[in-house]
Amino acid sequence: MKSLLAGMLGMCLMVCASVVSAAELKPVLIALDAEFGRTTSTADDAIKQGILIAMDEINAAGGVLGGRNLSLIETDNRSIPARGIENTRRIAENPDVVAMFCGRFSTVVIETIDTVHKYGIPLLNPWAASDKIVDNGKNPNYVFRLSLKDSWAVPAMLSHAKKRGFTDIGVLVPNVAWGRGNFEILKKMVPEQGMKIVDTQWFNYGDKGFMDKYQSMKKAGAKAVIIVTPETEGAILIKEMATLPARDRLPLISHWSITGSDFPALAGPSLKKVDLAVVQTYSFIGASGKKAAQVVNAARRLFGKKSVAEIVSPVGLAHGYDLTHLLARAINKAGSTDRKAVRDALEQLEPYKGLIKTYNRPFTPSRHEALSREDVFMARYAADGTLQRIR
Amino acid sequence: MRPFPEKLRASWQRSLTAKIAISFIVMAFVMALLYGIGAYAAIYHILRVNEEVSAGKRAELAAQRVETALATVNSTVESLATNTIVVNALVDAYGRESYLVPFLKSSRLPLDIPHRLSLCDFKGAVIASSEEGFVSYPEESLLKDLVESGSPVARLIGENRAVLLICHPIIYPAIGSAEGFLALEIPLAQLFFRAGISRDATENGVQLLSDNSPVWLLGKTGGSRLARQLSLPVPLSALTFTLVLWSAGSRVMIWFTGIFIAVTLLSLYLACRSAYRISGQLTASLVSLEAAASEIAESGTPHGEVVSQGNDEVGRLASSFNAMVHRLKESYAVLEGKVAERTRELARVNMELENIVADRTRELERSNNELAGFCYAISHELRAPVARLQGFSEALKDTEESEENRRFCVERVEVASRQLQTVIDAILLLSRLSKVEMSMGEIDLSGLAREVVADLQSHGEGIGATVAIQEGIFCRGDRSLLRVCLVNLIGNAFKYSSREEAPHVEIGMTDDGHKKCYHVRDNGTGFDMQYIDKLFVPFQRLHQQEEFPGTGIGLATVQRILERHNGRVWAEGNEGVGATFFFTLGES
Repeated sequence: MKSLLAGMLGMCLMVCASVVSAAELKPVLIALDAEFGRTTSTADDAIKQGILIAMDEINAAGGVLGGRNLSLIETDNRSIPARGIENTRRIAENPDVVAMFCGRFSTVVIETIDTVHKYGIPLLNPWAASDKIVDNGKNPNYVFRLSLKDSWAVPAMLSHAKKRGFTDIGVLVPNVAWGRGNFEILKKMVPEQGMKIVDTQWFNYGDKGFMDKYQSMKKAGAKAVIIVTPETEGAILIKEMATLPARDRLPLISHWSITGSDFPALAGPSLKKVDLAVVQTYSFIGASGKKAAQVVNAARRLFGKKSVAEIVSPVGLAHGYDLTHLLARAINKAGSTDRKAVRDALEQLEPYKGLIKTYNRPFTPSRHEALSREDVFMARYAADGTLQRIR
Repeated sequence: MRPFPEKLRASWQRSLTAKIAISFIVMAFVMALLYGIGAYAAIYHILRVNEEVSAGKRAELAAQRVETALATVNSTVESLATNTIVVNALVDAYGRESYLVPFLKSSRLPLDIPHRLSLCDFKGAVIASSEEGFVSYPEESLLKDLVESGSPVARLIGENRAVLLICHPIIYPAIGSAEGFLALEIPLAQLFFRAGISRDATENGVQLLSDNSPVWLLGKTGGSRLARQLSLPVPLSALTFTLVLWSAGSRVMIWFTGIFIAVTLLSLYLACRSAYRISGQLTASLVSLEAAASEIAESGTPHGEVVSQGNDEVGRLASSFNAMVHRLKESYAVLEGKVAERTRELARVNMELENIVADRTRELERSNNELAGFCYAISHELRAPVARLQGFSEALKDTEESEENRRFCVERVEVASRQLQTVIDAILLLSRLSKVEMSMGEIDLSGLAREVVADLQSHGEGIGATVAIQEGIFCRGDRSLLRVCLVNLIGNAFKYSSREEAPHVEIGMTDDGHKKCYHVRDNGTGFDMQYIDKLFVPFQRLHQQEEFPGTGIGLATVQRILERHNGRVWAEGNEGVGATFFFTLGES
């Protein structure tokens, strides 16, 4: 009789323990809503790889909250705002998701801001550069970015143009929120740089040709063209320009959206014929340091990247990596998966030595941008297709 | 009240006018019936065919209009769905309203059909619309077709399914799949109105069916149904639209039939009236002819005149009738004249006849008297010899008479027998003279007289008498009878002049240009003219037998012969001087 009772008590204890341990070991979910359905985009994969590499490290180190692994769920917004909204809603309605990452497209992310704040889920932005994503006027602001910002990209492009003596520039911008935002910044900053926008050409996503717009800008006297284009439209422009005589090919200074793809593959041999400079914030090439090697190794281990040259859209991987570590720290700091607590914790993170840089205070209540203007540089596609910093 | 068929039969029998009118009406009716039925059937068929063709064409035209409108609308939406502005807006975020809404609002459909055009995301939520108050299109099946399959969709939505919804997917080239769609709503009523679909006077209504369910109606259903299935492109073809025209049907046919019947009845009525009028006109002359003829028949005298109308057969008949009446009048007048004359003539002839009859009667009476006298004379003449025969025969019976007396009696019997025979022969001759057939011919009377004289003289008569015969006397008559006549006249002349010293007999002729008169004259004993009446009576003798023997029948024989020749005989005598016997032979 007693032994029976003891046995039963033991079983109960074991069940409770398993329940408790199960509850305690339940993974912490992190979501990534990116343009996985956009086949030309590599940023989504890069971001995901960065997140996973970080998660791997974190989980290997014991996870968060005393042993809970981080786990990633992903949704595909196909670079479509409506899908981003829907995905964000679903993610946010999942109580097990503590925070979410977004993908490349500012136009999508901008549209999710309201939903993010409706559900109060921290949004971590490893790529989308539109100022309004973080400068959204929300309070509390649930959006945290470790990435380029348009208002840093524009001066970087203008500085590059000016350094090269291109004061009369043409501007090719998409008629989307991201493009309109960049144009507003350009409009403001170009005169400040003593430069002049001689012609602005707007295009629509899906346009099949840009020669008329290019020729207009050239005819207007543009010495260089600042392009704010996704990879699909950018590739079309490069190919069209490559058909022109060399003297008619103006230098292009591009925002970094095209790097969210395997742009050399998209543009093909035409890329070599065009003077193209593009904004970047990180490059594995030439990167030294333990962290870089650690990440590259992890990339090789986890994703088969044999070399840094095979890491396409490196900024996405780097940003995703660092941002995931920051999130993990915030979760631990919050001591829970409470989103509000995690959000608050993000603003209070201690300095972190990340891949890209050492973040003294990654985020503050008044600054949800982990990077700064100084982290922005111009790069070129090398012959091997890698992005090389322009020195 | 006699029933109508009897009245009709009576009219037919009585009146040519009715005959013509009825015949005309029947003919008109039969022709009207035949031609009418044929024409009606032909025209009805043609009208029916025309109506069907017309209805078919109207249906075809209406269907084409609707098809064109719908196809164009569909093409417009399809084209807009590929417009880079729309594609761009689909992947744009805030701020797109600044260009998207004006773009949607400025979109114009063919025929300027009022509509609502909305850009919708992959969940059917409206991103922007040309009209306020838009709603989403979250229907699962709709999204399944549009977004998952990337196929355009058409639906009928709204109250009574009166709104046509056409959705075309918007393919985002960078993704290669439908990430949203353009939704176009068109009120069907507006679509049909702008497409100019209306119903004309022959149509009750125009109706649109989708999968045989009514979705739109202009007017009302009812009447004959003419349906045309609309041939539409995808996705409209899935709605299986059918346009139905409800024709008022045979309103035209009813009108046509009514008008035809009315016209036919009117025509028959007018034909009847015309028939009676025309037949009346045709037979007017005949009627007046009949009236005139009746009047003539009643009165018995030709009078009156028929008014001749026209120069046709009836007119000519009337003219001929008038001419006939006129001629009849003339003839009647002539006839009356002639009748009067003839009456007068007749009266005269009657009178003459009466005279003749009287004469004949007298003659007959005289003849009867003569005959009576002749019979008396005959009986008297016969009595004597017969008496003598009887007497002498009786005497002979007496055997006691002497032979001489007997011989005397026998001689007396012989004489009496001869006398009797003579009388009988004379009577027979006289009677034969009335019956013997005459053989008329030209006779040389002078020659015949010479022959008779020679014959008589050869028999001892007229011995010593001089005979003067006028030469060249020719006449026409029966030779044998005239010989007898001359035998008697010349014989008498010889006889009654035999006692003269120089008996002379003359035979001659006088011709006054009108009539020939022959004579036999003698210078004999003559006679007393007061006994002239007895001269020619048979057996009446003016002289005793002993003076001048004879039968007393000679002159009666001459008279009978001359009467047979249509002549006559008369005498002039003077006692002791002589006698002349004149005779004619009916010659002129």
